[in-house]
Amino acid sequence: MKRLFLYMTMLLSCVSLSAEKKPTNCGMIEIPIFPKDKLLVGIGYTNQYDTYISPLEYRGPQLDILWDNERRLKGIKNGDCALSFQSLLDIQMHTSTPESSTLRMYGGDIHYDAGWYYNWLSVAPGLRLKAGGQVGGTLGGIYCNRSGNNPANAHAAVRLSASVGAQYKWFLRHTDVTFYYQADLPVLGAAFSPDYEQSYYELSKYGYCHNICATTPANAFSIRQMLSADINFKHGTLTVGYKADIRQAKLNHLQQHQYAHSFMIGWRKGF
Amino acid sequence: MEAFGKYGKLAKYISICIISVLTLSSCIRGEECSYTPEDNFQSLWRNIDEHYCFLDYKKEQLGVDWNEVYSKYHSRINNNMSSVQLFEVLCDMLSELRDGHVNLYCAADVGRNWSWKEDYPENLNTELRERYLGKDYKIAAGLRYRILDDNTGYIVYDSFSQGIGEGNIAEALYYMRSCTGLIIDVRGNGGGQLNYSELLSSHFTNERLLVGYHAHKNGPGHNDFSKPEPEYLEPSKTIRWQKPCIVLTNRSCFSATNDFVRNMKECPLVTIMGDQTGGGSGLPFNSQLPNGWSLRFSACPMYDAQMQHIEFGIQPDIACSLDSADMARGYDTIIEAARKKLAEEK
Repeated sequence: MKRLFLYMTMLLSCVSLSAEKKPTNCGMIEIPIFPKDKLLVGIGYTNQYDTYISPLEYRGPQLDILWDNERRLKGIKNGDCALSFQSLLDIQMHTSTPESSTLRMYGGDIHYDAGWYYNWLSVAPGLRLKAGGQVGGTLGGIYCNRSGNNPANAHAAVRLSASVGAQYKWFLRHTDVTFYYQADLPVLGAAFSPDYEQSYYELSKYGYCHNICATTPANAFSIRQMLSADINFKHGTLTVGYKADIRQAKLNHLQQHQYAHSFMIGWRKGF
Repeated sequence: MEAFGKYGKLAKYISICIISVLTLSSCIRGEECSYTPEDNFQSLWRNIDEHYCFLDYKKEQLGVDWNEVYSKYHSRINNNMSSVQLFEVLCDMLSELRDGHVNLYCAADVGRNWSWKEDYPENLNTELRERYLGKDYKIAAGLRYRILDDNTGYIVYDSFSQGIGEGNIAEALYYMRSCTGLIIDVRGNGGGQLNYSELLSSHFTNERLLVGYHAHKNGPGHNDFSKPEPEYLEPSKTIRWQKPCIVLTNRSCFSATNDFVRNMKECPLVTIMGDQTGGGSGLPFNSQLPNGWSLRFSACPMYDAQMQHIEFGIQPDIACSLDSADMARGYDTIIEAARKKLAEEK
């Protein structure tokens, strides 16, 4: 799946070089606009794995709600560059089961990231590139419908991420389509994890025991990639997209991953 | 890239960065579903090897070497065996640990080793016990209680899985406030919630008491344990019992009941009477095998106030057994011995 994204990114780059240039009234090439508010809902597939609960991978459907807001910041007057701020709120709910069992896992996470970007606006006609950093956090957890002292695990994390993105506006005869790609890579953070076989009963009774762990790509390699297309119609804009959210961690000898792939769709009135 | 002009290098670096991230990323993967006996045997053996908390203690006490267990049972595994045969071999392997908290669950059966109670006299006749309770006993959530003819309070707690609250305990103790002593009968109580065990025992001390220690595994090694944390019993803020109390035990007192007996043994006016408890001092965790069978095992060891293991049970202060002649006459020897002792302490 990652390779597919790579190829799509490269394809996007190729398309950008051959795109039609649409002159503005003053004869200049139009600078791509920043995305406005986007509210997307998505349906996808998740693969959950958490050795605190089970050594097996659980798979099942996932529901996503993604709010993506990016606006230009004041500060740079040069027309080639701009600063921007992005808010990304991603709510995920999922249910999953291992292939060989009737046990079921339920989970949900809220991810929020605030990002600041430096934008290059005149790299190529209709193209915007951006690079920057994010400050973010996660709250959530998973629960498995079985008895015992380890049926659930909580998720809580804060992180600093490197983020890059590209936006390309493709002008067609009667409309235009804006492609958007973004990749977020957490580089430093802290995450909650119970100790190897520490029960939540013990945690609540005796408190802290190595439960806050530093995270880097070495022990918690994660990446979120989003590819979307905004298609303008007469009365509004249709957004279709794809989101791959890969989150992994090896903390306190416990391993976990969440591989989620979702198809996203959204509609907003106006342009 | 030339079309990018002066930004060509930057775009190139970003592309290299993205390509590196996508291709060099390492995946953390779990076990895949598998129905082969070999895969499930390996998974079960590894699960216990990395997660079970009493391997060294069982080696010391029972001579169980987990590596030798591997050799012994791996020779019985072949990929042509049926799931029933596989279940039998895996259960035999787990039985070596002689732990009531170690179970293997499949749709048709539960693998277990209950020798901790089945190999010993039961020391409990439930019909006889019901005679002592009569028909007009009171019920406060999980507690059944009444005042016996000699003005002794009698409480039966069948299972720590049955919830109790501060109010229930306080009401029961208040009802028996004029009694000369109290008997708490937990024979046959196979455990349940640890917080109920702590709640009930907190009504029998006026001071904060060190009752034991608690640790957990902090890594896959047999000796990877956290620093043992002392466990203190805080006195209840409601009614506290200030007269002699006797706790009746037998070999079926397991897990949370074992924990209750450990706590009560430290309380000043409490005597433990009956048979040794069944043990079960490891807080159990659950896991799974690749074919979907569920596994339960002890993960967090608990110790008594002297930092000694209580996995194989707690000795009573006064050993006592049911006498068949007494039973024939309608008497429970252990209850009668407790009544006699309370009468002596009056």
